[in-house]
Amino acid sequence: MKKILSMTLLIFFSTAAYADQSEHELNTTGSCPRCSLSEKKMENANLSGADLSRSMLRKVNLRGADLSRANLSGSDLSGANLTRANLSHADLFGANLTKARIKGANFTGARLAGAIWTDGLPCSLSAAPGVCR
Amino acid sequence: MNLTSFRTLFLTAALLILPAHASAKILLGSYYGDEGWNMTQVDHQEAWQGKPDAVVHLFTDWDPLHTGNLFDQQALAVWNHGSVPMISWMPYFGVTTPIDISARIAAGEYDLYLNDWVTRMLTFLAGPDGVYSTADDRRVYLRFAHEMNSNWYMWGIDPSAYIAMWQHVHDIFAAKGIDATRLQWVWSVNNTDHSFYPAEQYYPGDSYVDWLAMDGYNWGISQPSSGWQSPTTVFDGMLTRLHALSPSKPVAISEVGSSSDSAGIDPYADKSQWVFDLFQYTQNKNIGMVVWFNRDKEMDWATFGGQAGDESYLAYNAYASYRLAVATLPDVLLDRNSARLISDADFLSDPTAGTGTGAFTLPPMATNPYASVTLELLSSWTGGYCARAHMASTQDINDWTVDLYLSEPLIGLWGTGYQMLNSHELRATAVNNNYLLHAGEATSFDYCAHGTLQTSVISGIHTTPFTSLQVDTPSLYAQGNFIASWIGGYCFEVIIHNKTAQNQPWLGMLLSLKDSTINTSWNATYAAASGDIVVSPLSWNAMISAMSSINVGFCADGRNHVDMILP
Repeated sequence: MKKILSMTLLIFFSTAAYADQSEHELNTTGSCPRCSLSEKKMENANLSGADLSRSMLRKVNLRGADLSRANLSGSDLSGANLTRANLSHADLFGANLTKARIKGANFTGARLAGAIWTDGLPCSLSAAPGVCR
Repeated sequence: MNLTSFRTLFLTAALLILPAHASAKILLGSYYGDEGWNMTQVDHQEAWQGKPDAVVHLFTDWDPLHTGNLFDQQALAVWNHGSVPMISWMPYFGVTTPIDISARIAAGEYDLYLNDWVTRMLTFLAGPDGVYSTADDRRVYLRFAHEMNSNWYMWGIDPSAYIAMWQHVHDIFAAKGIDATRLQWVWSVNNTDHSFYPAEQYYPGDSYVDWLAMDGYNWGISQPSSGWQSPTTVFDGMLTRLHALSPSKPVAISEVGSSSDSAGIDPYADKSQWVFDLFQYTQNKNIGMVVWFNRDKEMDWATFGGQAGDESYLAYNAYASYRLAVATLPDVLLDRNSARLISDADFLSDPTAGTGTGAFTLPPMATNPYASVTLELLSSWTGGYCARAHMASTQDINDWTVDLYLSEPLIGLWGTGYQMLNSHELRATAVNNNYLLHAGEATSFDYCAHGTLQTSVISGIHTTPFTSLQVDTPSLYAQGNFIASWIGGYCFEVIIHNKTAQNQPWLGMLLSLKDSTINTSWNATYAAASGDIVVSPLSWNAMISAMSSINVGFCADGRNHVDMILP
């Protein structure tokens, strides 16, 4: 039993700790490209202008967050909660927004070229707001 | 056995299976995450691993406000530390970057920035005396617009614009007089294509590129679509493609890391094994540079300074496997007392030294009645070479092999199949797009090996003639002919002749097809579509009239290799 428990702790530590490091990097520098922030709770966070390019943001809670002019290119936002988030002029080039919740979100001037929209279709084939090209 | 003792046993065993000899020198490098700021972690890592990093990787973008820090602080700190900076230079400057940035750069829209940046680079390369082309000059690996075959960088949207951009930028460097012994151009792709276009379509050309490079990671089981991938799985497909693209260029792994997210009982041991496997792979494949991505980002990539490890050094978590694997690597001559740190040959991975067929006596051409093989030297360097074997057919053949005796181990072979017959002899084999050669046609394949081409020997050519098959019995005579043949398919007809003055029964025949499947047939019943096939007569041709003939036949997909038995 002791052996099984110690193995479980090792696995938990190795998969969770680098996500904490990502959060620390974001909190201290205001940016975190290629970071692991999936399922983090960041409601109403001020991430205006932040570099979160190519980050893992699956199921992250960014409800009401300010992501205006943020670089989210190549990020995986599938299942994210973006309700009432401000994504105006954000760069979402190549981002994955499949099943993201976007009710009330502001996409004014956001770049969505190459992005996958909430319905799982390429931006250019969806009724996505923002700029697909 | 507890986990610690298991891991110790595992590490010792893994070390023993590393190659006993150094196959080639390697440039060891790392990305540590702070882009040239605060090099303390690199100092500590080098002390821990017992070897210096010849290359330290940093990223920068095209924001003009970042140019000053890059050359005055970041790259300078890396050089003063005693490593050659590899600068990943990304044509992006925030959300205002136009989506057609590549085309705009190619059109000269950013020449003002570019000329300033290249002038700053020239000054940096000139070294402390400020005079370019003197003994204190610095060096840089410039990795421009990397991972263009992805869907996450907009500079890869249009391959033709990308190539035009690369060539335009390269031309500005050339116009400033920056040469290959100071700056090496690294063309770096993602290990798998995520763009609409394959990596090859972005290649700017041999005269614009010094190194081919690839980035790849083992994501473990973290992704819905991923599994635990060995270094071979991560890199071998792209490595084959890069060698095919330009066989003589040195190859780097410019970003690499492994998650510990495995399904095994000990994720640390699985990641440790991966580290050993990577360095074994890089030595076996003659990779010239390996730059570990030593920063936990999307996953726990780091082997030093990350959040996990199986040993500690000062305040750093570390993986002992990296330290042990690095200890067995062949050394790169990094001399921190030298103004230029490494030799020109090591900086360039010496891909062209000794090139020139005039300096070599090539192995003689080999022939048989159906084909001939000649060897051409593509490139050579101290301890190795790349060659192209040209095979020309003088008659129709529908299968072939070429045996080569090599004095030193093979590095790789591209353009056809092969198998090692023993440690020195390889057999190049025909594949689906080159097995069929009509008279006067030719094919070729490339290979690289250690040693010299002079000591290679073509030890055999084996060909299968493209001729008709004849089978004779006391009463019947059958002749099979390929009545049509093309890459990927053929039609085969058998004429069965009754050579006696009496009617004779035809009981059928046995055909054996190798690597093909029948898709249509006539005048007989075929019991199967592939392999060994019993062919039976129909009611109207089971008896062949005296001195008469019938014909049966089929068309098939695949290679045209048929054996025929007539009872």
